[in-house]
Amino acid sequence: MADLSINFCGIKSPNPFWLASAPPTDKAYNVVRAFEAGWGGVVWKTLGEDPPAVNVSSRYSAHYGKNREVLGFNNIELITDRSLDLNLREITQVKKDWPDRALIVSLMLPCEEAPWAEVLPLVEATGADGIELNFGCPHGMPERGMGAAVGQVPDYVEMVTRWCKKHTRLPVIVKLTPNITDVRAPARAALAGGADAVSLINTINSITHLDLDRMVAFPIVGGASTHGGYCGSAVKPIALNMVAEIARDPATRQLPISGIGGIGNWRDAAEFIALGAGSVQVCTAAMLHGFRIVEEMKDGLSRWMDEKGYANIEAF
Amino acid sequence: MIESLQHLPPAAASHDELSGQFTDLAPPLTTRQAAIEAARCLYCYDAPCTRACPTGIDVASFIRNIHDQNVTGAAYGILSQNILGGSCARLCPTEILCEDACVRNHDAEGQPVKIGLLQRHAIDNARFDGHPFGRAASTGKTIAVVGAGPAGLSCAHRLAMLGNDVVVFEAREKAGGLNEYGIAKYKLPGDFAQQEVEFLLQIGGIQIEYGRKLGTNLRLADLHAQYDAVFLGIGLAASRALGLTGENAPGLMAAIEYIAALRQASDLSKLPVPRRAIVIGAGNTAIDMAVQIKRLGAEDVTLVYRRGFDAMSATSHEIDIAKANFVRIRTWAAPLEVLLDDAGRVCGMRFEQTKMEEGRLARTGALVEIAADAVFKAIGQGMDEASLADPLARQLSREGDRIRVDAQFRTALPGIYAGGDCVAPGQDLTVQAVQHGKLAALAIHHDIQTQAEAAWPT
Repeated sequence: MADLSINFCGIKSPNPFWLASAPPTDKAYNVVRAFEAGWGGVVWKTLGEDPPAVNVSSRYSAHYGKNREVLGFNNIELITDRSLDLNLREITQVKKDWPDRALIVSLMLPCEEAPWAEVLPLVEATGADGIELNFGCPHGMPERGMGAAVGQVPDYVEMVTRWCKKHTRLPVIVKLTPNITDVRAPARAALAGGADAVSLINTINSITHLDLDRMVAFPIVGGASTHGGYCGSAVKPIALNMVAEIARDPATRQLPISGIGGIGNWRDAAEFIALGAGSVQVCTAAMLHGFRIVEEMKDGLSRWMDEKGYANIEAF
Repeated sequence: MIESLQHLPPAAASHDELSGQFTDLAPPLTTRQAAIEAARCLYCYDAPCTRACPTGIDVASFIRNIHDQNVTGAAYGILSQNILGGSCARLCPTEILCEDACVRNHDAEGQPVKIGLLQRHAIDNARFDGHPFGRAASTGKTIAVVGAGPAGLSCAHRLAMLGNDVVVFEAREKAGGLNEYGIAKYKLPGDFAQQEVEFLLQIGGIQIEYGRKLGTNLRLADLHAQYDAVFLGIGLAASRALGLTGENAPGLMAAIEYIAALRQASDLSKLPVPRRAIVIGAGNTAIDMAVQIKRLGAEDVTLVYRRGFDAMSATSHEIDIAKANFVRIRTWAAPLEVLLDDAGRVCGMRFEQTKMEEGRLARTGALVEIAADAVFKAIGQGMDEASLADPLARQLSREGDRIRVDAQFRTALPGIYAGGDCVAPGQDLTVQAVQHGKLAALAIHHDIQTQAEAAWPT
């Protein structure tokens, strides 16, 4: 059988399938279930400063196909709505209980050095394997000068990445927003700031559909809406293009890439890997179908690699 | 084998024409059809189809694998739970199992995912590099399995996987049991039953001795003494009798025997075919018989049952097959007398009409006569008592005529296990026999290992 294990910028994982920073990785309960199901790693849902954000409901809206299948959905969920301390305690315990799995902590802090200098050592103390900088969240946080507001300005990307490299020894993965003209610019900036890897794509600015009676977009909260981040199978072609652009850019060719965007089965994953990704992250498919999809993903990838004679993930 | 019908003319059509009547009842899906059908699966959490499967096949998982073009992975998943997944895909009454439970059968669609056909697609199109399952380190134990039907074969395969050697004793000249001898030809066309046996035996460590029949040239006491454990998968080899005069007259025979002859016939045109036939019974074997004799050229086939449609054990899908083949179904008529002509041959049957009276079946006194050149009885199978006649076998605890077993398929006698149609309770389904065999193998292995550990010097 093919060897599915990876070493992604120094982060070891028994397989390349990670859960992306999102609702399925918001707490120990879910992360443990994911690990039990066989996921190789998780990016813990974005931590931020206290007091935590308040999430509203409903915060999802789907775009359906002709047979009522979900092509994609958007969300207006913010970063974690739990305290920093609670998340850090759970992360510490989960990593202790699951030492062979990759546990990466997603972070979003204000664009000042002090909060990063303060929080990064706390994250490092949990035993986590790396951090991912959430520079991509397109809704809710940019209004507060975070998320995509940083990711859309390469100079900021470089600056914050540099702070992170200064204040932690952990590998730093910079998560990129697709809501930008040329995704190579922030990727180069991340590299210039010392990033160990990039991950992409974050969600895409979107409006799924409107309530034409009330003249408001979905999802509706208190009679109002906002432009949520779109994800799922529908965004895969966009994500594949962006991953390929960075992978073949001479400036960032050696930069490890964690592929994200509409991955739901082993074929999607193999496509991202073939175009240059060293690990893949999944969220929407796991939300739609459950954690156990990783079983078929591992089985399918492994059988295909055997058939093609690829001994490991780096071989293709 | 069909001596009692030797006075009847052979089939009117040629072998080739008749063969055309026995092609796949449900043809395989094309790759395109399989892709469309697989996309319909909702991949339910705690999927009801899996709960409905007697062998616990992870249906959602194998369908997702088909959808993701990992057909070999799909087949592996099926076979790891059910080594006879190929024949079960063709034979299972999915309409009362997985497809009945399918969520898409119950919402506004009323159209379940075609799970049986998808399972067949996976098994038929898988490409394994050798046998997909390996054997654990040898235990040094050898287990006797009596009967090479679905229960015995499933038990033997699982025992071999666990590192045991197995000797299978089969009374007939081929393995497969009812898959080979007792199922309608259009459900398992070609030599699929034998192909499946060959596939299963690839695991190694299983030896089959043919022509060895319990109670005839095989004694349970000897097996018990010579082997580390014994599994009985002997089925129900005796056809129940009508209990009427004329039972042995030419023209009357057990449906299961005719079906066996049909399945083994190298030239279908040589089979005796009555112009008018009666089939007595209401199960799937009765339907198999009625439909097949019709397809062989019988002009007039009447299936007679003493109760109503609701009480028939044949599934609605089976009854539809009978109707589509122009089999007349006569309900509420109980066999009363076999009518014989001057030569003492069957020329029809007399029935008495019945009705439900205060919850019980009652005779009305009204008589019905149906003319027929042959009568096939398909009123159920019973234990062939000669198989269990030796002194040790007589000590087996019974439930009705079936062997009593516990939840691990242990009989009352230590070291002797049983499963499939010969044990109680049972639905007499291939898929259930496979599960019995599998679970019995696990119990046998566990029990032997536990004893071995207990015997270790301390």
